[in-house]
Amino acid sequence: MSVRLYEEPDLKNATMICGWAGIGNVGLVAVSTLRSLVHATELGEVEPYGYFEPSEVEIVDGLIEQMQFPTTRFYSHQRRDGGDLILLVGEQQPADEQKAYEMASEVLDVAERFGCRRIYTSAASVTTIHHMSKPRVWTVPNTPALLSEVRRYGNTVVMSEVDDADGEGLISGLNGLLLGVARSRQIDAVCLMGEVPYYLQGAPWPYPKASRSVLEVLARVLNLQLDLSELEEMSTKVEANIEQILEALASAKELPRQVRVEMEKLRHGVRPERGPITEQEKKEILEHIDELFRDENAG
Amino acid sequence: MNSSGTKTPADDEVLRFTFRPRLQHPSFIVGWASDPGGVSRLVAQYLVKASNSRSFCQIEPAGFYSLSGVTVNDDVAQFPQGRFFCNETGDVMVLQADEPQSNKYEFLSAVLDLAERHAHARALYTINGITSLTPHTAVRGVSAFFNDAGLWRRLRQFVPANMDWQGPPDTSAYLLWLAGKRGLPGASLWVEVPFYLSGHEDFQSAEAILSLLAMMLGRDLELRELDQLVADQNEKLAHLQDDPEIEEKIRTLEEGESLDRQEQLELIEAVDSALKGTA
Repeated sequence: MSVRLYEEPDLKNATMICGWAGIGNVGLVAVSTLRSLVHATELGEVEPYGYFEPSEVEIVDGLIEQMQFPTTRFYSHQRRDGGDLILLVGEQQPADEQKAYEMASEVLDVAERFGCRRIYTSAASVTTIHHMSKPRVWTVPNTPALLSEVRRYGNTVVMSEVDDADGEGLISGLNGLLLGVARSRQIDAVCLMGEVPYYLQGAPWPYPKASRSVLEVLARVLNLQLDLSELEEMSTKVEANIEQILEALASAKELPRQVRVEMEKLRHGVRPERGPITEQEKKEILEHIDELFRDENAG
Repeated sequence: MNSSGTKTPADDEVLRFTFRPRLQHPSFIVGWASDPGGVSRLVAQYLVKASNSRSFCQIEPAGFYSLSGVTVNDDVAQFPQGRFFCNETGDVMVLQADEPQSNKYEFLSAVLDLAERHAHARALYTINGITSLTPHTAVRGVSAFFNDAGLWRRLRQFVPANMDWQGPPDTSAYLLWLAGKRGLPGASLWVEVPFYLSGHEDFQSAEAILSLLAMMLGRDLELRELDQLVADQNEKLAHLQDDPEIEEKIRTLEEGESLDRQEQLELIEAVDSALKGTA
């Protein structure tokens, strides 16, 4: 397993921003959108062999034409005023945690090679937020020294500000692992997690509203001018889908009373309280919604 | 092992040699343990037996298969294996293997390391059965795909149909593609297996592949034993056709028509009973 670099640009004061596929594809969409908006150029890739199995083969008239794998690509963007960027867009995360660790190490090798002083990863935080609300960005740095800085980002919360979290939590997958491996190499890193409503965590589409919140934070931190109107359009379409799903659920006959009450609150834009809904009811809502998503995918 | 504990192709521990035979640029045939009709396994077993081949190397199972216990099939405990055989003259090499459950790339790389570095194989052939609506009374259709245009040009005369396919690759396609990256030419041979025989050993499909391999490799293969197995199986299936309903279903398939799900299930049950000798 190795990294292949296509070029060696002379990057100055670089920051690396990573987004892998995950819940709502929040990180993937955020970093892909950023790549497109700043016209970043392809820098290299983590070779997929060993990390991923091939996703598709094309055989034409008896000859293997090509084999496709999930990609993990680096892009670079040089800015006139310094503060260059390396972006990483990962279509998939390794299923095996040993391999995820190895990928995190390879990504950090690239960060160090180009002198990156700071790394941001982008992901989702599953919360009780309503889909009509603006997602906040849960922010976790890998060193206490960064806490005061990340508190100033705006529209962000740190774990100790989250009800019941008491400053604790878990960031699963590479978006979290990279923070840890960076810490062991004494590289500053921050994970930015856009809020995704818990009832949409199994949805088959992205949740661009959370990606937008993440990008707004990054734009402020890195002093970037970003036109996020495309994400806004995507968000509108996704919201229309959600409304359709909720309408369909509301017409379902076999819905426990309390679940129906909660669903009605969601339909009418009432932000759920943390108290009234039990874990069992939450589980039932998720099951009903997941069923609908499955039907939608099958259809 | 590398720093993360993942097995890599460079690990000598992956390949356990019992002896190191003198291999003469062998043709390398890969047979997987489980495929429709057991075709891949049957072909590999037949080649090993017919060529008096001996096992000379095993792939260590740790890291590739679940080792939390053993499965029991037909009252017997099973254990996954990846075992290489070669004949006395060293021009045929066979791998009989369970497909890896994890670390597929490392497993296939180890297979290709042996084929490339130790054996200097001339070409690689993978064997697969593919479930089909063809009836057992029809000639089994064979198709193939290649990783190398030169081999394709040389062997296409023997293959009735070239494959077109776009979708998730199976282990054979992945192996062939990796082999192609190393410059080892190869072909993947696919034979139709009637759907109601896919859970049994389909000797006729195995024979179709062996006949094709014999032509491709320019070798004589003694198939009398297999002929007998084909005849015995066909006789059992012919008895089954005494039942007019079964006969009707087979005829429908012979006419190129399909059966609905219920009819297919009935045919599968009837064949299961017949081949287990309980009809």
